Amino acid sequence: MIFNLDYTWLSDPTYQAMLGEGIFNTIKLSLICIVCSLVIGWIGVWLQDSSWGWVRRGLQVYIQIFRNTPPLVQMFFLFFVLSEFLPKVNDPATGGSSPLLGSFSSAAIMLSLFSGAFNIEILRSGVNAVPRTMIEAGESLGYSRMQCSIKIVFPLALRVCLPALNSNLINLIKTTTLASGIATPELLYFAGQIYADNFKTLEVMLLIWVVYVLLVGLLVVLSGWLERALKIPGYGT
Amino acid sequence: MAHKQTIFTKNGLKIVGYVLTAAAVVLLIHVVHSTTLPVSDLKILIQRFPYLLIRNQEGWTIQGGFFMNILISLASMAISTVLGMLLGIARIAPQRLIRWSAWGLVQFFRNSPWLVVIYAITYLLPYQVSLGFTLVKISPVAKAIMALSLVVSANLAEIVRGAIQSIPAGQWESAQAMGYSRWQILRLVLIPQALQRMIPPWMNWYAILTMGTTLTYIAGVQEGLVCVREISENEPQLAVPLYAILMLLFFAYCYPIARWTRKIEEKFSYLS
Repeated sequence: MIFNLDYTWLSDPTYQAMLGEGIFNTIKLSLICIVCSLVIGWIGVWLQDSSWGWVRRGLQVYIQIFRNTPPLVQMFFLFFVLSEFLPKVNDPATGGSSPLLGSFSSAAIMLSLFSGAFNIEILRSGVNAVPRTMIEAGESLGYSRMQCSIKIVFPLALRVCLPALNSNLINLIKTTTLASGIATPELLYFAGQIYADNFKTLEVMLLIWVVYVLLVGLLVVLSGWLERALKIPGYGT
Repeated sequence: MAHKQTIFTKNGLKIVGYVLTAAAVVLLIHVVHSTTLPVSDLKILIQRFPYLLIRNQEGWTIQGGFFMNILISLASMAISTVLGMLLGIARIAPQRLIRWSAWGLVQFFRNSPWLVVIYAITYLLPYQVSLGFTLVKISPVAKAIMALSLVVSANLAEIVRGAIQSIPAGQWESAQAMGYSRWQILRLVLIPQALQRMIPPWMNWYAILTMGTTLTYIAGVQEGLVCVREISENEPQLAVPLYAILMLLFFAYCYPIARWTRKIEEKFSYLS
């Protein structure tokens, strides 16, 4: 059975265009979510030092909720909540009303929040691993708190937490496949469209599997290169 | 005697407070948004709760629901532990062929998205196999367990390899000096010591696996998410509270595992 695979449908330009658009949208969604989740991570680390107890506790609630619930259920929950509670936009051309945030935006928001919760923990562990003596040395040289954070803590923390951060971002790319459940036009969704058209489910799925492994493998190689390029001899693992 | 944690201690009251706050928030969102009375909705929710848990309103047999997620996670973790142990040992084999093929397998399954793997295994395996004289049906649950075991065992293999390699080289060398064979060293000296280091990441992967069982709806498993969708088809005003309740169920299962993992990590931190 496995050697009767029929890939003649790949020569069809419609299917090629669909696959190309799917790959492009997957990469676009991944990049947007990587950037947003890193921003959320840094904001969370900064907020964790807040002197207000309710800010710290609220942040812990957010982190624990997003770490201990399934991402698929989070995706559907956020999609329904966002589409019901946000205002609807009236399209003057057709007269219909659609939700303000479409499936791509909802998926981007959910994935950024999901990955951001993990990033807060990872970046916090990196920041805590910077020796206190470094910060004291900076303060004794006249650096302000902000300058200490940017010039001393951030480079060292980044190198300590880079392996965990990279594995989290790789997990993010794998999690973008869940967005196909809410009809985001990414690769897995278009794969579903293709095999609904020509009924060659196994061939389409095997091809998509290989494409995803290559995409994720590319990010693995890039992150390994980044770790080696940023290495400080004598510091860290 | 150690201080006993009941719900009347300070931490116990905090947990009860969080749960009640969460329930109040869910109820508030529902009241603000819905058009029906919350009392009748609560009655429907209570009536449908067994369907959400075991997909069965008449008896006690588990035909799906949230408990099916738990069962799939337990079965898959058992298989993955065995496979992951074997793959992890293969990763540090002295023979290049075994080492490289293990590396290839682990990289391939670690880099595949779980949803794509479940899709592919569902359509790759036939729904029944004839073993000569009998016909064996491969159910959707079996396919889901197999697919999840593949990906999780690849990740566990890395944990096993890391744990074995973190044991000081003196153990290897002294066992070799005493004439133990390679398998004897692994079985009698290294793996018993590595097991303790493996436990926190192993429990972490169990939590991740439990949350990944929601993806098995692709294979046709009637699990928690499918039940939520079926109930909310008949009662659309209950969609948001039902998703929230499913999230709370998963949270109630996975959060204690996360806390326990952290406690075990701190207890064993003297090893690192």
